[in-house]
Parts: sequence; C-alpha cells; structure tokens
Amino acid sequence: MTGRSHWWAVAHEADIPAAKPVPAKVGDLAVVLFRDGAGEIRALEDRCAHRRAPLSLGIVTPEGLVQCPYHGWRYDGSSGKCRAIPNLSSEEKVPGNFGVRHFATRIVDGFVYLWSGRHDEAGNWPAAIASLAGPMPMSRTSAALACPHAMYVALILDRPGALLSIDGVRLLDDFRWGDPRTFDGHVVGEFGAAWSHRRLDRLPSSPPLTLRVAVSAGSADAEITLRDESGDLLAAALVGAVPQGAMITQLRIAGWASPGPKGKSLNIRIRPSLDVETVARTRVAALPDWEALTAA
Amino acid sequence: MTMTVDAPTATRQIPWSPGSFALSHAWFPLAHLAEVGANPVRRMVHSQPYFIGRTADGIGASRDEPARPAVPVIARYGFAWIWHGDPSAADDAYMPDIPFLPRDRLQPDYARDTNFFHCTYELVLENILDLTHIDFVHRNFSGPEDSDEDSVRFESTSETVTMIRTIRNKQTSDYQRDVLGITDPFQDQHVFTHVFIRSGVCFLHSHYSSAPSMPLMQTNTPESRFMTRASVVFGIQQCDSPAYRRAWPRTGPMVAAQDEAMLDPQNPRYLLEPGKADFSTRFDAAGLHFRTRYNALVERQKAGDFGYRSDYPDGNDVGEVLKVKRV
Repeated sequence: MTGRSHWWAVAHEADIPAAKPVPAKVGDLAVVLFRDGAGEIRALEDRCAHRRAPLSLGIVTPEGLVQCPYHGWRYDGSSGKCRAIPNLSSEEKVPGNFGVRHFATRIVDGFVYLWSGRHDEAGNWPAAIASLAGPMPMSRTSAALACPHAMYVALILDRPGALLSIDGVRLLDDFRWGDPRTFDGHVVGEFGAAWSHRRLDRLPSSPPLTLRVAVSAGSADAEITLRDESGDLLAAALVGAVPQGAMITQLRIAGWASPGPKGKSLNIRIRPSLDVETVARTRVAALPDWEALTAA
Repeated sequence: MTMTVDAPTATRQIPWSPGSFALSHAWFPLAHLAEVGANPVRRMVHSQPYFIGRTADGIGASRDEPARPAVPVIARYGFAWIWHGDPSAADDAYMPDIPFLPRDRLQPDYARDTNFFHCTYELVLENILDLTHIDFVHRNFSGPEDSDEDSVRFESTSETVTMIRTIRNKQTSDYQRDVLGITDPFQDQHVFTHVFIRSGVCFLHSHYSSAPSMPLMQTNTPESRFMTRASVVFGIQQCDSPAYRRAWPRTGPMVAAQDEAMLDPQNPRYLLEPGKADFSTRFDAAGLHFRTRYNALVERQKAGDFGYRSDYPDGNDVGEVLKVKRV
C-alpha cells in the first residue's frame, strides 16, 4: 500500500510548534513539517538541496522560512525555493532553480495529511478518509510499531486485538462477522467483543459488542468503531498508519469514547507491543485474493 | 603548489557518489603509536582488516587473513602508517610531510585523541574543506557568520586539495571570550585546510588575530561506508600559550559531535542516491574541486592506474601555505 502516492496522516496538528521544524517519514521519503509566517503548516523534502543535511534539525526563522542547520540555507514552505544563502554578498542572488521538493498538506480532524506525490498532482481528498464522527473532545496519541506497514494492514484486518485495546472490553478476534470485504473504498472487517467483567469460557453465539475496522485503500488509515447490540456507537477512532522505512509503522490515533458499564472511558488504544502468539494466528494475508482486496 | 584559483560562483553540478569506490595505494595512519603494544591492535581500511603490533624489530603489520601476510608499515608523526595497496608499490616518498608534528616523537597524551564519524570518509573531507559550515555548526567556537569581508580560494594537485578562507572583522566566539578570556569584539581569521584525497589525512589551521591557535592533523581513515576513524594530533609546538595548548584539544570531541550531527544523517542520503548532483555556491568551490579530483582518481584506479603524478610533491609541501614553523 506504499508504492503509490496517497494522503498520509504524518502528524497531529498539535504536534507542530510555532518555531521548530518537525521530521516525518512516509516510507523512505523524509519530510520536514513547519509553520510558515502565517502559521500554516508546510511540508518540504527533509534534505537540503546544498549538502543533503536534514532541514528538520534546523530552525524556523522569524519570517517563517525553514533554515538548514549545516550552512543556513533558507527555504520557503509554499514553493520549496531557496530564498537566502548566508555569506553571499548583497549583489549575489540565489539562483531560481535552487530548491527542494514541496508537498501538499491538509488538516483534517486534527491530523496533518501529506500528499506523497508531486505537489501539482495532489489527488482529490478521498472519500475513503472519512471525517471522524462523534462528540468532542478527542483524545490523541501516537505509537510506533516494530512491524512493516503491510503486516500492520494484515493485523488490523485480522487480529485487531493484537494492536488495539479498550478498557473493560475483551476483543474477540476469533469471532468475525464474515471475511474482510470491500465497501465504499474501504476494506472492512467486523469482530465480536465482550465486556471483560463478564465471565467468558468460549466464544458467545451472539457477542454483545461489535468492533468494526474499515481500512482505506491506499494509505490504510483505519476507522474503528465499537457498537453495542442495539447498534449504538460507544467509541470511535481514526488511526493514521504511515510506514517509516521498511520495518516500522507509525500510528497516530484520534478518538472519542463514552463511559463503559464500570464508568471507565472506552478509549481505543494502541497496545505498547505486539503479542507474538496472536500475530502468529494471522490468517487473512494468506487468502488468495488478499492483495487484490487491499490494493489501492 | 599548482593551480591557485580564486573560487568562482559555483552553480555547476558534479555527479557525486561517495562510498562507491575504495581508493588504494596510499599510506594510512591507522593507530596512535601509543595504542600499539605487543598485543596487536586491529584496524580497518575500506573494510580490509589489519593487525598492527610491536615486535622485537619495531612495528609490524599484517592483513587479518589466515596466512597473516605482512604489509609495509612505518612509524612516524606518532602514528603507525600502513600501505593499503600492492605492497611492492609502497614508497615512503608518498608519505605526507607534516611540518608541524615531530617526525620521531609522540605528542603528549592531552594533544591526541580519536573520534568517529558514522559516514563514508569522503563526506568528512568535504566537511573539512567546507569552511562556511563552521559559522553555523561550530559558531560557539568560531563566531557567527557576519563579517566585513569573506573570501575563499583553493589550491590543488592530483592528490590534494587546499582551502584558504580570509575573513575580516568577524565577531570573536563565545568560546574565545568565555573560556580564553579574549576581550576583542572582532578579529580577522585566516583558515587553512589541506586534505589528501586517497587516504583522507588532513591538516587544519585557523589563525586568529585576537586569539592563540594551533594546527592539527586528523586521519579520517575510511574504515567502512558507515564509519570513519578520525584520530587527531595537535601541533602544540606552534602555540606559545601553555593554557591554550591544553584547552583547545579538549574541544575536539565537542566539535566532532557537532559535525557528526550533520554527517550521520547525510550519509544515507548520499549512499542511497548515488550520482545525484547538489546545488552549490562559490563558497563550495573547494569541495567541488575535491569532487572533481576524487572522481579523476577513481577513474584512473578503475583503469588500473594506481601511480602518483609528478605534481605530488607540490601538494606535499604545505609548511608555507599553512604558515607553520617546521618542528
């Protein structure tokens, strides 16, 4: 899901400060995020055009340009063009072709989305990335998973309990409402869940809760909902999943939750580590139509 | 020296693939002599392991192979130098002349050290020839970039590149004011760097009009594409201030850490995109010239020509350009 250009949730908007650049990655593409003079979030290739130092180690100037830490070359976030080079005399101008790639960004639901392809080819906002429905305020967390992005997609659609936890809820990955299927630009999997304070010796014939995972084709952002038997929404979350190199998947989650029967909020969380036995039971990635199912 | 050129506006681009070729047939200073004892120390050149140790006859060196074939080795300037290349081509005429270091004596312990850079050695040499980064990366030691005049020129041979930067009325640095007690707000600087392309050996010397200074030699040994060993020796005999002789070497690890912060992330950006060109200014002329000279050496060695050109002695006599007295 990482070979083509997509919109990727590369940061929480709140994580981009006013005067400091922030690094982000999509696969092997390193980008720097920063706020320009108007406070707008900009994204540039995180590699100075001069000697390839990371711009994210630099500073944001008072004019809202990002300045390389190595030699001080300064870049305009709206175009990627180099606007100033220290040590040049006042008669010397920066050549117009000096610059770095710049990327389109959008802010949705407090996520900073970045289009990983050319700026002028930024795709339409896909219906697959839905806005998070529900009351405010939302909780926000981030976590890095030591697993490749493709493995994350397989896990979230087959063993969501390996990745997610909800206080007071037992996720029943082995109770699935059918195979994963495509629906409205998503690959959807539905799973049973139960209250953890109730004794459960074997899979119930009709679980009291349903966890629905809808993964967008392409970037694999996931909408996750927890509903009760009546279909009432108890918790919802959006998970942005961005590959970081070949072996790491960076997750950013925003969600809201109602209180459970014991009064604890039903926040959907990322588990701090993967359970090996659970991962070993992942099955759907072996399906013959898996690649076609999850292809962008 | 040959080819003295004032640095032009350098907007041309030169394909550059550091780490893609291992230059050989040169003397590499692999270990401080103080580190070499009866038990051999292990060192690398371009991922080729060597052992160096003391024997009854002096210093001995061999390849780390089952037969332990001997390699030419020379003890000089406080280092054990081995010849990396065809042993029959070893000739101490190609040993760098270091006018500011005693030829047959060790410098005191406080005047030598070893740092590591996690990158291929060509990036370290570019960093050393690139004097404008000092204003940003090392500004606490050299002062901020503003000055009345700032000019750069370079000299080169087929084996060496020398960079000379002259700066007028530049602010003294935090280090000079706070640690050395320099009171002048401004000073002139003449900064010299000289690199040997094959081995990575370099000399650096900054003259300050308001503060003491002394030259140093740094080895920049290419151990692998991911690690460069930078052993350092300071030419303390060039400095009249006993306090500065001891103070300045202590800044070495700090300066190295500042460079490492740039070099480490630079490395994959070059190794993963070989041949891609960078944008440059006139201040990068020496670095670009280094790239050109380096590429020429690579092409010659790829064609089987490992010899030295007749201009080698020109690049090996730098006492005058470095403005140091011979020890």
